[in-house]
Amino acid sequence: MADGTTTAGSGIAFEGVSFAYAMDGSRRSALRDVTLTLSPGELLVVVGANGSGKSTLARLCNGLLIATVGSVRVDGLDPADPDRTWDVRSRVAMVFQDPDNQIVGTVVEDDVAFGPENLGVEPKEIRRRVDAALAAVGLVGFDRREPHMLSEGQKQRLAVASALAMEPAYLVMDEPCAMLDPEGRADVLALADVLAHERMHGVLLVTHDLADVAAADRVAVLAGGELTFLGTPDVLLGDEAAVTSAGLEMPPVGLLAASLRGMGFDVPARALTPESIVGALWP
Amino acid sequence: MALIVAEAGFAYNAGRGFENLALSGIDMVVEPGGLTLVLGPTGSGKSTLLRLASGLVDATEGSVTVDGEAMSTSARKRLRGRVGLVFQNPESQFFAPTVLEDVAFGPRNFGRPRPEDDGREAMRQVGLDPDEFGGRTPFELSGGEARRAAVAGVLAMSPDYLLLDEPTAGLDARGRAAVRAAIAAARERAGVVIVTHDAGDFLASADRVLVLFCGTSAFSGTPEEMLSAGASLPAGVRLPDVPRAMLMAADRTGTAVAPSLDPLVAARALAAMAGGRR
Repeated sequence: MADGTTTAGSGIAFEGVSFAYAMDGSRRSALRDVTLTLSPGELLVVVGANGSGKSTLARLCNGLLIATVGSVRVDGLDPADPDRTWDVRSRVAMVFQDPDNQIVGTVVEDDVAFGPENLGVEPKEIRRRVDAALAAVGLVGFDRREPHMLSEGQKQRLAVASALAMEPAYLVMDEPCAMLDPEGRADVLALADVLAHERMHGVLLVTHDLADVAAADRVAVLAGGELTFLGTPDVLLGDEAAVTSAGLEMPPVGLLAASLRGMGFDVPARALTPESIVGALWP
Repeated sequence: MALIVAEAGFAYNAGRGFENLALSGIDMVVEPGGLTLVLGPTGSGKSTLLRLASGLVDATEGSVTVDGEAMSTSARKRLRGRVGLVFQNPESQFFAPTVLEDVAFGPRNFGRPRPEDDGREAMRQVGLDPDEFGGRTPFELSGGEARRAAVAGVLAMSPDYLLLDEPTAGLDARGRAAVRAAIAAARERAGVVIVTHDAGDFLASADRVLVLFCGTSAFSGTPEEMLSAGASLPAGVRLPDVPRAMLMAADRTGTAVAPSLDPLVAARALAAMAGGRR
C-alpha cells in the first residue's frame, strides 16, 4: 500500500479494549480491557464459553464493532475511522459459523469470484485469484460444482476460499467448526493451520471447544469478557485450573494424553487427536 | 408401548422424475425410558428419520407406529403431543415475549386445562427455575439456557416420545451438561431418540445405537457392540476419539483390545501396549 500512515504486516493489535452493547438505555459490558496482537503467519485460537465475549472480539477485528474504550489497529489503521473502513475490511476477512449463510454463487467459481468482481478487479486477475483461492483450500477441480452438493466441510472451505479471493492479510473465523461433523471439523482445522503457517496469513480462530487448539501458536482464553490466559496450547492444557475456571472442558482425548503423561510417556499436552497420541507413542 | 419404525423409508418427489431416495429399510424401536442414539455423517438421512418418526413426512415404504397407531402426516394431529420433536437450533424459533409464555404455548394451543402449570413443571424438569427465568425474554438467554427452554417447550406437552436433532451442537461444556441432565430427566417418562454426528456426548447413556450411512442402516446394536464393531463401521462414521485411539494403537501393535469410552481405561491399555517406550 502506498500510504504513509500504514504499517504493512504489523498485525492486528488490541490495546486495552473494552466493548459494551447498548441495551434498553443501559450498557452491557461484553469485553473488558483486552490487550493482544495477531501477527502475520500466526494461528491464534480464542477459546471461551458461550457469552465470554469471543464473538465480540472477532467482530472488533474488522470494524463490524467499534471499541468503546481502548484501541484496535489493523496494520496501523483504525477501523473506527470511516475513511479507513474499506481498507481495513479488505485486509481482514471474516468467516462465520454457518457456511450456508455466506455462499452467494450458484457454482463454486462464481461464489469465489463474487468478492473481487465487486471490487472491479480485471477478469484475468479474477480468474487467477479464483484458481489460487481454490488451490489454497484444496478445492481444485470444483469450479463448476454447485455449492449445495458439497459436504459441510467443503462448504466451509469454499467460504474460506471466497474470503481469500479478496487477498486479505488476516482471516478471522468465528466458530467455523460448530456445525460440522468430525471429518469436516478436522478439515477446517487443518486448513487454518496451513493458511497461517504455510501461507503466512494471520489467522484468528474463535471456538468454545478446547479440542480445536492443537495447532495454535498461542491460545487466548476469554471468561466473562476478560482475557484470563494467553500462551501456548501446551501450557494451557497442562493448567487444569485455567481450563475449568473459564467454563471450558478438557476433551476426553486430552484426559487420555494427560493420563499417559502422568504414567511417564512422552505425549505432548497438545496431542488432542488419536493420530497424534499414537504417533507420539510409536514415532 | 413403543414407537416403532419398521422397514421404513422416504423418497423426496416419490414417483416423479426427480425421485431422490433419502432413507430406506430402516428399523428402530424406542420404548419409554429408552435412549436410542442415531449416528451418521451429514447427509446420511438422520434428520429425515426424525421427520418420518414424528409424522412431518409420510413413509414412502414401510411403516411408523406409535403405541400401535399408524403415524402419518394426517394422524399427526390426533397423535399430537405424543411425539415431541426438538429441531436443531430450536432457540431460533422463540417468539413469545417471556420464557414461560413460550414454554406454555404448546399445552395452551392443545387446549390443556392449565398450560402455565405444565410450562412451569417442564421448566423445572430441565433445571430452569420458573420463578427466576419464567418472566425473562427468551432472546437474552445464554446458549445452554435457550436450548433447555426449547426442550422444555416440547416437554410441556408431556410427550411419550422425545426426538432431538443435534441437541448439544454449538453449546459449550456447561450448556452440554445442562442439556444432558434435561434429557435424563425427560427419560424418566419418555422414550428418547437423539440424532447427532458426535457420539461422545450420549454414547455412554444410550441403550441402542443406529448408524445411518447414505440413507441405509449401517449398524444397529448396543453401544458396547458399536465400540467393538469399531474399524468395520463405514467410512465417515467415527468412533469417539478415545476408543478410536485404542483401536489405532491395537492396530499398530497387532494386539487385541476392547475399546472403551473411559480415558483412564484407555490410558492403561495404551501403556500396556507401549510397554518399555516410556
